[in-house]
Parts: sequence; C-alpha cells; structure tokens
Amino acid sequence: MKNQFYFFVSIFFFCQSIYAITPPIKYGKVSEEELLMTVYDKDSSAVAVVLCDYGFFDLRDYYFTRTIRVKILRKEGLYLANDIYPGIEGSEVKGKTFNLVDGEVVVTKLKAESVFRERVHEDYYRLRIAMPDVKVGSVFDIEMRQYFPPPVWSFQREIPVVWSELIMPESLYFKMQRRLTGFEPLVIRSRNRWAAKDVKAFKEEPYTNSSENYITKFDIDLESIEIPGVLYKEYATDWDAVARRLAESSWFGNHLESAALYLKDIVKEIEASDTTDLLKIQSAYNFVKQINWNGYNSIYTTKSSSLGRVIDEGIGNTADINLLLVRLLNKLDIKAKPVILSTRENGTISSYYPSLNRLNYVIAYVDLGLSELYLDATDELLPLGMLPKRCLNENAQLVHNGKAYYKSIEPVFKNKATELMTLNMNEDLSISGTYSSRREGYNAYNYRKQFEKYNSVESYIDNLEDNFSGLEISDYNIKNLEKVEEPISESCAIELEDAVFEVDGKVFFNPLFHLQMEENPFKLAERKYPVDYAYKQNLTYSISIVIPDGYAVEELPETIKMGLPENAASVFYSINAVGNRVAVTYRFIINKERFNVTDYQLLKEFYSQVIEKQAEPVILKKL
Amino acid sequence: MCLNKITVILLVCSLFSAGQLSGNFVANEISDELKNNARSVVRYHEQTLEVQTISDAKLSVRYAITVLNKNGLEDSFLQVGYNKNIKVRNIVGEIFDASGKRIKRLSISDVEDFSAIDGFSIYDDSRVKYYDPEIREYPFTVEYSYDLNFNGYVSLPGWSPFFGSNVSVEKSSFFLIYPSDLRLRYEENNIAKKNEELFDDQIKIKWEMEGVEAIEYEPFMPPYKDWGESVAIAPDQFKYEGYSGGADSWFNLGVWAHQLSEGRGELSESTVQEMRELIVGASSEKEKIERIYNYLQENTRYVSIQLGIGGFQPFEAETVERLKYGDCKALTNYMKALLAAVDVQSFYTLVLAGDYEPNVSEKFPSNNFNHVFLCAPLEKDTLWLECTSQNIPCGYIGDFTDDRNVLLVGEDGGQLVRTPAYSASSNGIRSNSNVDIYANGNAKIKAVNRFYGSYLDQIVYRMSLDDVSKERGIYERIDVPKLRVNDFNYSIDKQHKMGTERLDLDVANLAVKMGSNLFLTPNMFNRVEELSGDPQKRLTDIFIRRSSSQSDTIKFHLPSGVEVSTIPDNITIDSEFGLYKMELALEGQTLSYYRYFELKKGTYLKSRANEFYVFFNQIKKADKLRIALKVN
Repeated sequence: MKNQFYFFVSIFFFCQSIYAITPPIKYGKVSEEELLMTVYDKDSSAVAVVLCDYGFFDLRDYYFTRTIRVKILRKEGLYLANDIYPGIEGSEVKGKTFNLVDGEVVVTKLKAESVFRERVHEDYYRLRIAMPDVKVGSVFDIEMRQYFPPPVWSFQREIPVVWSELIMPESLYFKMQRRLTGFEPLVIRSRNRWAAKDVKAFKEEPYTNSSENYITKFDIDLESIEIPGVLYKEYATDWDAVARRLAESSWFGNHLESAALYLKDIVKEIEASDTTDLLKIQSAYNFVKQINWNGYNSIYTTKSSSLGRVIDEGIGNTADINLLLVRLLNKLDIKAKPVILSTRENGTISSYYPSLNRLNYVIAYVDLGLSELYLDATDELLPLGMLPKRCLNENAQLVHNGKAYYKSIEPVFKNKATELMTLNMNEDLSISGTYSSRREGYNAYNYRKQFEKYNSVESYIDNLEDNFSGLEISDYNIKNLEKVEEPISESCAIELEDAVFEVDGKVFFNPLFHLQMEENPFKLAERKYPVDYAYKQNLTYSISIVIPDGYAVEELPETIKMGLPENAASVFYSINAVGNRVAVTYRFIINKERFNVTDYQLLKEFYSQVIEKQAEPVILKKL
Repeated sequence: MCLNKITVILLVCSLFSAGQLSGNFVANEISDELKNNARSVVRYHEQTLEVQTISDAKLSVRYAITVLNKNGLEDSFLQVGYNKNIKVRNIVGEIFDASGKRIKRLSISDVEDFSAIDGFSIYDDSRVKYYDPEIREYPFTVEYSYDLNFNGYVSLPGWSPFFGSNVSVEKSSFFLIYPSDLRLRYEENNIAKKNEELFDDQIKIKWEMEGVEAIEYEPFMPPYKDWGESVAIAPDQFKYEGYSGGADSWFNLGVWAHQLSEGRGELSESTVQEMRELIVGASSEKEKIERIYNYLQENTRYVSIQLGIGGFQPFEAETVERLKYGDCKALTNYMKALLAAVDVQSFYTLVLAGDYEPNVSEKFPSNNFNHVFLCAPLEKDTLWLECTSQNIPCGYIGDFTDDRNVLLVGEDGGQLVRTPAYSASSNGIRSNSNVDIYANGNAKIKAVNRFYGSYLDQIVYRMSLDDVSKERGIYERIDVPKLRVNDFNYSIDKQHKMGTERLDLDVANLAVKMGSNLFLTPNMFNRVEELSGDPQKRLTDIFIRRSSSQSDTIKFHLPSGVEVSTIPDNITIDSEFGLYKMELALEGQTLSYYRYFELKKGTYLKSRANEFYVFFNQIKKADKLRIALKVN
C-alpha cells in the first residue's frame, strides 16, 4: 500500500516538473524578428533553416506532439516546403504559413487539400505535406499529433537547426531506451529533456560506413511497460535482458534448443567423412551456404517452427541461415554460438545502450580454444572465417543461455593482390607481353562479386578493355574463380596501344601503364566524419619492360618510400634499369581500417603524393 | 440449382481464362543464341487487349521468364502497377526449377501492396502489387498471369517484344480484340508480320515475334521505337472520369484537352489589377511576357500531385493563386490566365518531354504526352514558357522539350507544331581560361565557362544547390590529383539565355616535373571518353540527338626560364559526324591552346560504326596530347 502511494505521488511530482517547462515554441506564434530574418547568421549559405523542432510526449494520454517551424531564406530552399514525415494512419496535422506583405503578417492555413496520407505498406503511413503560399522569406509552422512517440528523433537535418528539443518523460509504467548518436553536442541533457542548439547542416561524405552513425539523433526504444498487477513486459533494459528475450523467442532461441532432427542425415554424413573439428566446420559451412539468402537482414528467423523447412525450400534470411549453421555445428559437438549485430548501413550499436530494435543481423561464432571464427553463410562467395563488409561494424554481442558478451568484430582478411606484368616494347613502340595476378582475401571476394555481374567471361573482358583505352586482352585464363577458399589467379597476354609517346627524339611512358591510380578518392578540402575502409589493403605490382635496341634509359622516376605515422599507410615505389630492362616494384599498404577526422589531411596528402608520383614517366633516348 | 450450374461454368471459365498456365519449361532447352549475353530469357509473353467500349478495356498478360543468373533476379519479381482507375485481377503464378519441375505456386497472400509515388511527386495514387518468389538458385523459371481492368482510359497500352537490355525473347505476341463499331487505330514500327481476322461484330489482330536476341546498351543508341518492333494503339473516342474525347485527329485531341481546362482560368480581381500594373511601360509584347513570367517564377513553386483526372486536368488558376504552387498543368494554366489578364494570347501545350523520348509521329494522333508547358506566339519569335522552373530565362527551352512535335491546345481545337532545334553554334560550352604555370609544375587557373542551349540546364542545376554542394560538385567534376577551389560563382544572363561558371583554382602538378622537363597536357579538363562496345558488333544505328559544339581557349603563362621544346602540329579531324580542331601557338611566354569539338545531329547507319569509332578514337588521342617544356 505504501509503495503504491509513493508511486502515484512520484508520478504526480514528476509530471509537474515536466509540465512546468515552458515550451520553446508555440504553434502559430511567429515573431516579427523571424519574419524579417533574411540570412542565418551562423551559416550564411543556408537556403532554409529549422527555427525550432519540438517533440513532446505526454504521459497523460500517451500522445506525442511535434511542432516544427521552418524559415525559407533562398529560392533553393523552397523545396523544404514539400516534405514527407513519418506518421500513422490517424496522425493529426495542422499548419500555417506566415508572410510579411507590406508590413502586415498574412497567414495562410494548411488545408486538407495539401496533406496526403500515403499508405506505404500495410500499417506504415507517411504524411506528405505541401505547405501553401510559401515564398522566399516565409515562415511556416507544422504541428503533428499521434499516439506514441516515433522511433527516431533527429536533432540534425540537411539544413541548419537553430533549436531542437525533445521531452520524453519516463514513468514507472513506461520505460524507454533513448540512445544518442552523432557528432553535434547537446546543450540540455537531463533525464527527460534533451536539446541541441545551432546544429550544423548534415552532408554525406564518401568512405563513411553509414550516415546513420553520424547524424545527431535519438533512437527511441520501448524498454518495458508495466501496469501494476496486470502486465509487465520487459524489452531491453540491458544486454542480458536482450539475450534473455532472444533465448525465449520462438524465432530465435527455440531453434537452438530443438532436437533438430532434420539435421540427422547431414550430421551423420559429416561425422563419417571428417575427422578434425576444422574439417567438420568447413563441411557444415559449405552445407549451409547452399541455402540461398533472400537478401533480408533480420535477427529473427522467418519460421517459428522447424528450420528444416529452410533447408527444404533452399532459401532464408540471415537468421534462418546462420542459426541453422549454429545448430548444425552444435550437433557436431562444436562450440558455436550466435552473435548479433547491426550492419554498416543500419548504424553502429553501442555496447552501453542495449537496443533490440537496432539489431538486424546474426552470425555464427565458433570458439576453437586458441582461436575463434566468425561465420556468415549467407554468401556462397565467402571463404571460411570471412565476414562480408556489411557485418564489419565494430560492436557485436554474443548471446548464450540468456547472457550477452561483448565482441569486437575485426576483419581477419585483407584486400590483398599481387599483379605482375612482363612486357616488351617493340620497335614501333607498341607494348606487348603477359599479365598475371594473384588475389586474396577481400580482393578475391570483391573480384568474384564483380565477375558475377557479367553474363560471360567475354563480356567481362570487353568491359575491362573499355575501361582502359588501348588495352587488348587475349588468352585469358582464370583459376579458382569458383573455389572460394583459394586465392584467384589470372593470366593473359596483353597489348597496350597509345602507352608510349615520342617528343623531340625522346620516348616517354608511364611504367605502371594501366595500373596507375588516377583519381584521389579524397578530394574535399575538409571532412567532418571518420574514413572507414572496413578492412586493410595490400597491393603489389611488379612490372618489367624490355626496351628495344637503339634506345637507352635517360631518366627514371626516383624511388620513394613514404608512410603515415604508426605505419597506418605506406607506399614503396622503385624503378630500376639494368641493361635494356626496366624493373618496377610498387607496394601500397593501408594498415588500418578506420582513420579519424584529424588524420584526414594526412591521408588526403598521402594519396595525392602517390598519384603525383605515379604520373612521372620513364624517359628513353635514341642512341 | 440453376444458379449453381452457372457458378460452376463461371468457375471453369475463369480457370481457363486467367488461371491456367502452360508450364513445362526446361532451362537448358533454350538455344545458345538466346542465352548469349542474356541475364534472363522470356519464354513466352502473351498480351491480350480487349477493348469493350470507349471507357472499358481489359489487358490480360501471361508470361514465363527463365532467369539465367543473379543479374536477372529482378526479372523474376512480379510487379504490377495500378491506380484507382486500373484494377488488378486474377494474379496467378507458378515457379519452376531448372529441369522445369514446379516447385512453388504463388499464393495471393504473398503478394504485397506498396505505394509507388514517383520521385518528383508529392502525391499520386499509383500503387504496385509486388511478389518475390524468393528463388536464388539459377536458372529457374517464373510464370505469371494477371488482368488489368481499365475503368476509363485516354490512351491504351501497346506492345513491344523488348524487356530491357540483356533479356532475350523466345516468343512474344499481342492480340488486339475490339468490336467492329469501335474505331481504333494502330501504328506499327519495324513490324514484319501480323494476322488480321475480321468478323461481323469483332476485329481481331495478332502480332507476333520469335527469337529476339539480347541486346546490350550501345553509346549513341537511338530510342527503341526507331529500331525495335513495336505497336502503338490509339482510340478514336475515349471516356475518362466523365470526360469524353476524341483522338481521331490532333484537332479533336486538342478539343478534349481544352474542355478539361475550360473555365479554370479565373483570377481574383486584385491579381488581374496587379498584372495590369506590372506591364505599365513595357515596350513590347515580349517584355510584357517577360515581366509576368518573372512574377510567376518569384511567386510560385512546382509541386507535383497526380490524381485521377487530375493527371490531365489543371487545378483552377485561383487555387494556384492561393497555394502558390501547382504541378505543370496548374502552373501553365495559371500563367496563361496571368497573360490573358493583360490580353496576351497563349496556348496550353502538351509535350512528350525528356531527353530520351521517341518522336511523336504526326500521322498517329494519340494521347501519349507526359508534360505541359505554354506557348506564346509573337510576331517574330514564339516564346516557349516552361512554368515549373524558378530559375530559367523566359523562353528558354532545354533538352526536355526541344526539337519535337507538341500539341497546341486552342479554344477550338488542337494543332501539332514543332519546337525549335538548337544548331551547333547555339548549343554548347565556351570555355576561356588563363593558367599561370610555375616552375614546379603547379598552376593557378582562372576559368570562365559559358553554357548555351541545352547545356544551360547544367548551370540551372548547379545554382539550385547550396554553397557546400556547389563546391563539392567542382571537386567531383575536375579530375586532378590535388585541387583547391579558391572561389567560384554561378550566374545566368536571362537576356542572352546564357549561364556562366567562374572558377578560381589552384592545381598541384598540373605539369608533371621530370628532371629538367615539365610535361603538360594542355587539355586539362575536357577530354572525350572512350566509346564502349565493339563497332563490328553494333546492332543499332548511331544517333546524335542534337548538334552541339564545345570550344576551349586556354592561355598558359609560362614562367621565365621555361621553354617549349617543340610545338606539336595543329590537328583537324573533319568528318560527317562532326569536326574537331586543335591549335597551339606560342607568343613570348604565352602558350595558347584552342580546342573545338562539334557533333552534327543525325542518324548514321550502323554500317558506319567503324568510321564513327575511328573519329572518336582520333579525338581521344588528340585530347591526350602532351607538350614537353624545358626548365632552364
């Protein structure tokens, strides 16, 4: 009794405090200053600016109200008057546009004719709103009301935001997980209230893993609902709770408990032929890889009944496939457990903020005592122990017996390739010779993926020839394209036209020929977010060119060796001449998966120096 | 009892009409010719169009497609678009493995329903029925059938045995059935064979094609209609949402279009007054139009909303006046009303807009337009007014609407006229740069690039971006290892219909230093790209849609002590496809480079592909020309 009393009193006070805060915006009350504004002083290039974005979750009726005020500063920003907002079928919307005409404020109301409710799919709706009477200088307000809060609150948008505030009170009945991501600071961070001020516009940059990770926003997850004595439902209070929920789920844990009689035959077969654990793992992996991935990521299987049907149908999602692999390995007495994670596109999960909603992928983990293996059987092109790029997203959780264990996912394989060319320069200055390559790790994987896009080897070669003008390929041979556990090797004869030119009786050519890197991937002067390669790189070229009689080497590019601090990246490039032979060795190494923003200038400079160096020709003189 | 019998008969009928699929598809029975370059193979495709009345029609589609590899995966998905006037009925599907054994049957509960609003509309009512059979084991075959019931139409679906690049076809047919008292017309393109049956009360026509090999994209490829087989169907009379119309002539189609916008040009008295004040002092009709067009651009924005008849009918001018936005029809109708307020006559004009759209043939009136703009005839120079852009000059016509047949909608009917085409001299980029080269090979570049004709759109687009994106665009377009953008500026001269880009750049190692030499490629930024494909295997003619010319004049200012070893000879490559010139001259320490590249509009036979590729390769080589400089 006493407890319950305390309970209600606390809610009462709690509500009082939240409701006492003055809202930063009042719908429809636009100031003259806002109407007179012509430029946003913090970013004079802004085409429009969000003056205020305010979200309030009212515990008294569980309604969430969002009030947004936008100022249009330039013609280029008019498009912001047409926008799409997530909603539910019954979302209530009102809106007003304010214009200053000859010193008078003219108000135009948003009417139903300009609000469209799009039923995207099943119960998922979007509100598509085209605000009326908007021109350069206009301010408009939109207020939307709906039952329950939206799953995400973004403090940052593609235009600057002057003030963004979210009030999400928590009650003992109703608990939520709110996780902040992004790079912009918050000015208010209390238990129930968060606000950001003067948030810069968000712009995407190349080589980032996911904009989801960098935009400043809140993810809102339901943690638990409790109606005393009636209902208690726990969602995600900590990672162990996540693990417990998964363990109890018919779409996850139950599969790992089942007798899995459907695996009887294959278990027998593998046990009969394979003697070591590693061989068994390889066979199990190959068996499960035969099941085709339907392209969907999920931590839940498509079937709550037996996964045997996944084998019969030959297709499944990530959970179907990889939980089946875990189960099969367990049946073979291998210590395998599921590891749950969020893919790169889906954003990084934090080890401190448990969230079931943020997870979208399951892989298999095998403890081999001295070493460990991470397996993903969704892609037949993956060799044992290689994870696809989508999974290389740092944090993951191993779940076992209702407990969670943090795992850091680091790629085991590199992007590694060695390319060799043995060339002759002919009397007519044309180039012919042989090319061969050996591709390993992610390089081989990416190459196989690339190859799949062509409908034949011929069309693959045609494309290569189109990409490098003057390159002609014949006698092309590729080994181990299908044997994914092995490196790929290629060989062919090549001819290169237009690779050599003559000026004033001197002959010039680029000793890397078509292997020359032409474009700097980092062109922008500044960068705000880290550079994420996902895995390390190691490229080696070895080229020899025999020059024709009657010519001698006059000048060679100087050998260079340079690197970034802590050996994070390095290049070695040497060109030597011995008699009539020019020998080139080039090694390019990226030794780190992720570079901080502070390293950007260095990395950009490194690339531009490599490219400049590669542009230097060899000069021959006529004897 | 009787009722039951009828039910049974109906059931049997429906099983036979849409429910029955033919089955039996063995993947390796497909001939090698059809497998060549193919990601998937259409085993058969049957389309039956039954037009019952001027407002009712039914399209029955049945097909089977064998997906050979991963690249064809999407061909296995069922995707049927519909809206509130087109109903999808009788979806049936079966899936077969490589040996032709049936492994799955589509269940209607697996068919998903999504909204399908196009990227530029704030709202339309298009939706799609979607089904993924979830097979990832290649090859496999899907067979589907469904019916589309049209409740009212303004145009009718046609046919072609082309399903995209890298898809071959074993057999495709089109069956057109309509009552003999209904007047339909058809236009055949590159069709050899057809079969016509005339009955007392019905006309049945069948077109068929067999063994169509997979084709890949080719550069300078003409629109499909010019080289592939197709049939277009057009009704003489039609009815849609209560509006009847005739498409038997361009004139009558115009009558219908006019009827839709009739009475929708009312403006408030204050706006009429405002327009009258706006033109006070204007010296010509043209100036009046320019002022009002400017008013339109300053006061409205483009928002696309397409609903039912709203897809063809503009909102009232008063609505645009109030909301300050509208789609192309609404804004055009509004502009027309604004002009009418000052007694300037203009015509609502229907157009098939887009850079890749085929020609609208004069002899085949049909409602096959996708856009609306305004034509204001003047004594000397007719003005074409695109009403959806806030930035283009008055009367500017881009690659969206140039050089094509369009339908002018007058008070008493329609008239097909042609929009102007650009000549090479009025269409292109003129670039003028001054480059200071330093002894270490670094350079400072000041460039002024002027964009004319269809190229002006590029400046319109760049101007629509915020400053960060503008700058980012420059970094992305200019391909040098190390670049710094010091300053940039974009402007449009509406008077001369010209866009200007000014750039101030620093480039490291523009000239590559090697010992006592510097190597300079004077064509810094504007090199032609390799034409993909093999000219010997070319399947389509070479199609240059519009004439254009690019000129680059660059003055390189060399530091003292740097000499040019030899000046390469000037180059002229003259061909029927176009003209290329490269000239170099040295005056003191200034090296001048001039490049001119012109392409001539036309369709050139595929037998001349080799010649065309040679022309391009010569240019490519000339564009890469390097000059050796000596540093003393």
